[in-house]
Amino acid sequence: MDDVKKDAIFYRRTGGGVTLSGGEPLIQSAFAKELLEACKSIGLSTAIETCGYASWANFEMVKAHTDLFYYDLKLMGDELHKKCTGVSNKLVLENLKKLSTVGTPIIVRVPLIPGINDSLENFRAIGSYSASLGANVREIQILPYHALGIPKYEKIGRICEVKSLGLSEERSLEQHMKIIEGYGLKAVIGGR
Amino acid sequence: MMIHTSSQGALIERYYEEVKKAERVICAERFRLITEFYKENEGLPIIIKRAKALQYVLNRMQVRINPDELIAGDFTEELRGAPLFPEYSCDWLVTDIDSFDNRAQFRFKVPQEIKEEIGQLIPYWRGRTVADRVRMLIPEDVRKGYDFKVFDLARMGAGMGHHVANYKKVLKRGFNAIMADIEARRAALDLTNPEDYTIALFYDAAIIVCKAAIDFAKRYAVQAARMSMEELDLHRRKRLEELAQVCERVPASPAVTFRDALQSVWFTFLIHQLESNGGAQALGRIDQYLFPYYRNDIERGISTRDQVENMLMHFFLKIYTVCKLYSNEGAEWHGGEGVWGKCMTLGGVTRANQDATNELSYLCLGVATKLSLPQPDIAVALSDRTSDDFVVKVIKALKTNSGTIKLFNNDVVVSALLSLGASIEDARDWASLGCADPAIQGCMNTEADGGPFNLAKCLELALYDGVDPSTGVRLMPSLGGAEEITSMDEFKQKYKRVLEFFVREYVIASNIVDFVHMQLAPTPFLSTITDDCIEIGLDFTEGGARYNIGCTPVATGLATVADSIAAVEKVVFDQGLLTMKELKAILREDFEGREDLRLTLLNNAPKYGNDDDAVDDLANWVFTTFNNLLREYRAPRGRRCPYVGAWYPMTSHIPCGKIVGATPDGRRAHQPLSDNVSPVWGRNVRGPTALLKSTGKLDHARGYGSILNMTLNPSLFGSEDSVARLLGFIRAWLDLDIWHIQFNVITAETLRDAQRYPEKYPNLLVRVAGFSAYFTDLSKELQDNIIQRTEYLI
Repeated sequence: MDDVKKDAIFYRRTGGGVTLSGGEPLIQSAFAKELLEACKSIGLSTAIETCGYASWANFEMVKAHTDLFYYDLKLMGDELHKKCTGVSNKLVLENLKKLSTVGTPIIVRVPLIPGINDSLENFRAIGSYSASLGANVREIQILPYHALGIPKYEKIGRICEVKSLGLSEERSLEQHMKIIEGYGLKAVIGGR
Repeated sequence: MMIHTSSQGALIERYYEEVKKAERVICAERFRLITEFYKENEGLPIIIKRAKALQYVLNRMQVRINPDELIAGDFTEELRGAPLFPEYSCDWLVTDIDSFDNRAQFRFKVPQEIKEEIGQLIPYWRGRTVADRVRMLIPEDVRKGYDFKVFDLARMGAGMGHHVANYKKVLKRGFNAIMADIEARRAALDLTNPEDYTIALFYDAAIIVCKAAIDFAKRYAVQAARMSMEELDLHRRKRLEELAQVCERVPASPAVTFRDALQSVWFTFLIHQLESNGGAQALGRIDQYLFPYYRNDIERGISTRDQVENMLMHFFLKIYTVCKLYSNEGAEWHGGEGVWGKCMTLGGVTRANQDATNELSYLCLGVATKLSLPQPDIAVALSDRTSDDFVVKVIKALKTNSGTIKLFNNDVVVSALLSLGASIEDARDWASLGCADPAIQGCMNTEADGGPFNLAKCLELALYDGVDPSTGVRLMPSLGGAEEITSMDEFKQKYKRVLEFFVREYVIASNIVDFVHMQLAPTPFLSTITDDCIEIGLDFTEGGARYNIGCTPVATGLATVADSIAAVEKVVFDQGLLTMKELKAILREDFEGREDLRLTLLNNAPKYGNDDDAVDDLANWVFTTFNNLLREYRAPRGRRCPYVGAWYPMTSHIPCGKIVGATPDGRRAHQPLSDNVSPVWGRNVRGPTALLKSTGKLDHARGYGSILNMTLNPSLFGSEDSVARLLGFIRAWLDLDIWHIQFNVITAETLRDAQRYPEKYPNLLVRVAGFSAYFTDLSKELQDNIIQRTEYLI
């Protein structure tokens, strides 16, 4: 908490606060709860970035102390989800549905992987599902694919296999945005 | 460039192109005239001699009017010429003249015939200049500190600078009335009273320069009238007729229109720069003193807002033409044209502490953004009273013009001025001088910027017992070797004693400089436009201004010293990894063969800039110790003229680093020191908020101007969201009581340089896609991508 408090002056002036992010903060939800509670007790706003793959019990622990959830939604098709992440998306979707009834605002984030989850069909499914969850799902952020990891791979002597994917094209992103907006949701490119 | 405004667009465009195209060139006219006058009038009392010399120059200078300009008057016979001031110093002209047109920065053209003429004029001045006299008078032991560049005496070679004249008074009263007032005071003197005689001479001199100023403007009126009669183009003819009328009116009479006001300020500015060539003779709060004329023009329909904007553009371009020739050494210390200090201050508060921002503040900011010139410098004074709307406009202006816009924390500056003896109302009327130091408008002589004072050299001398390690010359009495130091406290005390010694030497030398200026170079014109010189009958150089402070030495290498002391604390006294003796041996060899220990010193000890009290408190200890040592002394101007430290060494951290061997923070010999109050390059790794927090731990109001530079990527100015975040950041900066901040918005050009020389930019953050990364860590491909995007954004 001493480190958190160091920036108090900036939280006050920007209305900013503390965001717990990855790895996956819900893996350590007991610690996360304590930290969030401490932040709330000194009036800071709090947020969590999660991939949603955690037991609901873990969400229960933190939900009362969190002002905003950033919730990753990668793929609606379960088969492909299994293939790419190794697990089913059932839990992820279930948790999101439950979370949307808690009353805490949620921002859904879609990290865009070219050739994997950037199909328009996937986006229609994401839009339709998110729109069905009610007013707590505030907006969808589309995070374009980036190659920032490449130099890091090279530094530690490994080869980055996704090199050939290239960077996201701004042009196609507009189509994705339109789809999301078509469901009455706010769409934003990039995080803020 | 797109700077069109209404029908006068083409005119300003033409003038802009001409001014931008003009090369900087050295002019000999003033040098020639002043030499003629001095040779023939050696016997005059100095104050009369100075007044008549200025009059002689103003009466004989070539009068040149550009048919496209709305405001007349140039510094020299060339559009961007630098006049010369041999009475202050000229030996450097002999040694440096062949490099003016080919040195690394601040190049000037020197036509062959001018080179020859300068060569012929110089011999007369040998032994007669301010610098020569100072060198003659300076005691031998004090000279050592100066010769070895522990400190410098920049002001011995230049005239009065670092002040703002009382433009408001000139605008309101005009020189006819100012002169009449002096004449009345002169008549009331009783010459049987011995004190009154020197005052009478001073008043005589002041009357001469008032008249000279009026006559100078009239020469322009005559010239404009003559040109208008020969002009066939009707528009031009009308413009020249108007110009003739304006120059006939001001600065002799009070200004009526906005154009009168600009012309009056411009003549006054020009004349006082021709009297004396100090740096940073700033323009002050133009949005305040010009405002009544702006309002009058608008209300009475004399000019539209567009026309005012257009006039301001001409005014800014005029300011841009002013240049000052530095010696090669001076050029190395100052980095960029803005350091000529032609600075104007916007915003701030009124004498009653209300937000002073007005329509003209916005207009001036807009003009600065449109023109994007390296000068005038724009200082914005911010406080809690400043509206968010204005701060947001400033942020948006920064995006296109970050190089010349800097932000000052009004309340901290006011605190500093109060601690130096100002009244609260006067303190609120401060303006920036171009570096980071302020002056109260129209009534203060700061004589700031005495040149760099090398804090890291002092640390080296503490380690080497007062002996310069590279030459073996003893620069101060022995304090005992560093080997015998057994505690951190002892180490700090030893460093403090070195500072004490050289601060004292500096004060002795600086007082001599003050004394010589009084003797050889009083400034009667500046005195007529500075309160309360006329009221008390004392010249500006002698302390006639209402407020005076001693010439500030500019402390260099703060973070290098703080990190070094912290490294000694950690590695020697806490962890016992090295003894003082071993440390000294390693430093002497510049870590040769001991890279392991260099890395230990570098990585094991805390570094300033990361919000770590362990080292930030040491930085503030150095900061406060230096300021407090200086505050013990006073300069010979007036009854109350305290010394204080300044913290804006600009680019002098590079030459200062060259003369300092390896330091305990892991810095190699001769590498640059830390700049201003910023961390050592690349050692702040905890982001902008930590940097601001560390800087906020310095007690800025104890000093007299500290610079904080911060690099940002243009994408941070992109959306409304990010502007709101920057607004919050700036508000937090105000809360932290930090004196100054300047945002360096990175351009594509810089990024290309970083791609080529990554080692120069370890710290360059770029915004990529919703997050930031270190630019030098990115692949070539992505770097290219970001460069493209950066170009697009700007």
